[in-house]
Amino acid sequence: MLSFLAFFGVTCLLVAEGYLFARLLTGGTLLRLSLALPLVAISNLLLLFACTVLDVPLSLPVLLGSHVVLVALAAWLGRKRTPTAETETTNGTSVSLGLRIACIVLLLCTTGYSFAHAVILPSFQADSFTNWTMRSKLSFLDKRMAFDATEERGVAKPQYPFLFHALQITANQGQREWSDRGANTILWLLNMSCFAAIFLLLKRMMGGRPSLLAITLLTGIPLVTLHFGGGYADIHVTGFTLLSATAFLVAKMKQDFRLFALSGAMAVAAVWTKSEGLFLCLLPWLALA
Amino acid sequence: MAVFRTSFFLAAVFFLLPQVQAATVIRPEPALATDISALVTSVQQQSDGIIEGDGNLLHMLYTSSVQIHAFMAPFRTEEAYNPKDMVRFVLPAHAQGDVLIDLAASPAWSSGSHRYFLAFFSTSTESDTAFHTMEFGYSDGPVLLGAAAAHFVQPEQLRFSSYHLLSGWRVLGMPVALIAGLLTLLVAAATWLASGKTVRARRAVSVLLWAILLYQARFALDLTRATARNLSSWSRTGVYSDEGSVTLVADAVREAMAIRSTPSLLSVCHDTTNLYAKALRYFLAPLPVALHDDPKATHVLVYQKFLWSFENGILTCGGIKAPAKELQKFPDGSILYSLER
Repeated sequence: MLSFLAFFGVTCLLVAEGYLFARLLTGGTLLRLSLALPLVAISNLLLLFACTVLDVPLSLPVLLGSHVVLVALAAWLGRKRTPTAETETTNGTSVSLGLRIACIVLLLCTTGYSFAHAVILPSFQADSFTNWTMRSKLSFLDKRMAFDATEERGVAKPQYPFLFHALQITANQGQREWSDRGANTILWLLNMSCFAAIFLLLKRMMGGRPSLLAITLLTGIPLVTLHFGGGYADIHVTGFTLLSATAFLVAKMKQDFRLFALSGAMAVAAVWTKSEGLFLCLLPWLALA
Repeated sequence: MAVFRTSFFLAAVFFLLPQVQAATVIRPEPALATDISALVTSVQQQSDGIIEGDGNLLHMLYTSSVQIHAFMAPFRTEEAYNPKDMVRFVLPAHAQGDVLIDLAASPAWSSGSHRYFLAFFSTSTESDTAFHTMEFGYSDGPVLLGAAAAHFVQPEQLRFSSYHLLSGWRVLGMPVALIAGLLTLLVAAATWLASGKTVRARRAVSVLLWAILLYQARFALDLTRATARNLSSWSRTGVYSDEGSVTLVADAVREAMAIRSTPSLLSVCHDTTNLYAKALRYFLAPLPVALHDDPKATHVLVYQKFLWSFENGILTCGGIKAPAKELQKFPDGSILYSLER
């Protein structure tokens, strides 16, 4: 119970911070909420990066104290006028009732599968044990980012970017020992947030029903669906890349500079998740922008 | 360990027989659908080889006083088979065993001559098993149609430890995505041509969308079934899918190491991939775990290991031979020992 309360408290703090940052970029409560974790993943990464460079231990007072400061900063920055909710496109392509029901059923299946495997069941993905969650756990235990160059302790990936690890480490603050469930749950929430944000941005562009169809077709690709079970970073690169692309399209359509900024931030997040993000997202983004 | 003395010939080649008449038909099940860890750890004898032939049935005449576990997979290339194509079946103990194995149970089966990997395991030290005949043949009726229908409803084998091993739904060894994709394009093109100018694009796109959603629905069905199975297994026994009892083992090892005053090292003695050992290393970190048998170990976990023994208080497993005490057996068949030194 204490473990759950600690996780819940840290998650609420992160969501509040992300929400306040999202308030600077866009209107609409739901969109801001869905952008909270993708945005806080970046501020949290920058925080852990600074701690690593300055050799400050990744401890509870340092990490949570810094996030409290960031919450105050985001609230202060947003004290003036923030963007109002955009009107959504209502004349989108019509989608039959049958298709809509099929979409909802498929989305429920994906959500059920991902919740079961990422939140209820413990880790059992090969990459978790050799690269991703293992490095987060060792960093949490060391109170500094692990840069092991040999596999003696089980991970030898000093070159990996660490947005994924940073979020798992922060979500574990307040735990007496490493919580595998907490580490996986925060990333599950990040995934759900990313794809919810993509849906809400698409909705602005082409209306609710076509957006529902688009998000179903995307998340229903068998390999994508499986990755929602967690443990690998590929789904997060995919989420950030698609969110960046969607924000880019909406920004272009609505001539909204703030959404361009959001798109750029998500491209950066993709690179800091996995180096493939550089070629899949940031370079195409720079070429298009 | 006893030496296996079945009269099973490696690389034996058998050819099509006109008709096969036999008493019992055995329909194998996908090997990955069930956890075989407990079986592997208790194996006393094993033998494997390659057979080749044309047919949807394999006729076996054998003698055995103990039941035999068999695994079989058609080769996809000259050298390799896919574990997802592997099926398993049990040959009951019989003085005059006469069985027909339904080879079409493997999603990779198709008509024509194939090479098969075949392995037999016994959990008994009895060694009187002998195979007198192994012949390929076809059953009566529309064999291909029956096999295609069976493959069509067979759930896809999912590996939750390695998502990229998703090989896709196959019928008669062919990927359904390819066949269904081509058919969908043909139907969409026909719809386009047959429809009026104002509705043709909408109707053709509808055909494409429905086809994709149907394919995804089929995958979602398999995934939902597998999820229910994993959740049920996890809540009942603390074991799920190919994870085995990793978390239960980790708790027991932590407890066992805590009572030692000297530094501890867990060694995993196994004959499989080191995924299970890596999982243990993750759950136990920062406690040290050796991925293979290490003579410096203070604790040993025997997992999916062939040919090992614990007799008269001496554990012999790979490079480890030492006095030991059995601490705990786990639902996946693995056994934890503490070495006395």
